[in-house]
Amino acid sequence: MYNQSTSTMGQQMGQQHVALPDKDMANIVLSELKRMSREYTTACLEAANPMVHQTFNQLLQKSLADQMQLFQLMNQQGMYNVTAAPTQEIQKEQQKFRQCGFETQQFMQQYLGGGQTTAGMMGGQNAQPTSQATMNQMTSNYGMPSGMGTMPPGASSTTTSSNINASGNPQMRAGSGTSSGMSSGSGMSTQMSSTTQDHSKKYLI
Amino acid sequence: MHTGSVSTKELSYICDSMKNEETLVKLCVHGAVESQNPQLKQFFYQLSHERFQDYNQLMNVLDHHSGQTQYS
Repeated sequence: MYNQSTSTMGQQMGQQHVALPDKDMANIVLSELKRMSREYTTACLEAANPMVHQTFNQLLQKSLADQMQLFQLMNQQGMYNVTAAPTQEIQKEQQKFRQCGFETQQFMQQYLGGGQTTAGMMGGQNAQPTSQATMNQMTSNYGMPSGMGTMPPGASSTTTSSNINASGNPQMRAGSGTSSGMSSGSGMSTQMSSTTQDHSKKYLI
Repeated sequence: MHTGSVSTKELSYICDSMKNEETLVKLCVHGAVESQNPQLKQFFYQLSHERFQDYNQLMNVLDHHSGQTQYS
């Protein structure tokens, strides 16, 4: 009975040519490229031999590029639609992580003591530009406009674009007595220290 | 282990990757033949050739470390 039914089924299957819709075929190849990208990432991370590592890295980059190209083609053909996130949701997450940024900044200042310590740990003069760049970025990211409602208690709301000069460097608050014109040398540490102290005043009061 | 040689783990990843590339090439050939959409057809055609080159690139790594160069 079993043999009979399977042979009947086999005949039926043999008679029909299964045409996979283009969308399904594209999805299979897309999934395959995504899976291969993940596997190349793992292989790359695990490779000890530089030549093997480089080969896996090249193939990873190529898989990502191919995956992107196929996705864009599918998107153009209406086979893969992407829904945009609601602006309200983005703003909610933005506020949440802005607060998180403040807390992380406080944590760093509490344990690292700001730019001076970081520069010292990283070997002094060469590390200083990076430290300053980091500080500038921190100021620009977490210098909140007034009225955002997520300021930590005691934080000054004056850290806005008015405190950032044309070159993107944060200006010292009035009365801090620090020059922002220093560019290199041992004076930089002093500046970083003062900047950090000034920064700390803003958020740790 | 000499830094220039290939570890058993790396050999496993290379073989898995070659199997993946082989499957992808065959899928792309199927897509290039069967697809009704001209743009997809063209994409699959090109991809099949490109990924076969990647298969060969992995083959070259094996050749380089086997001491027997049979593939170019």
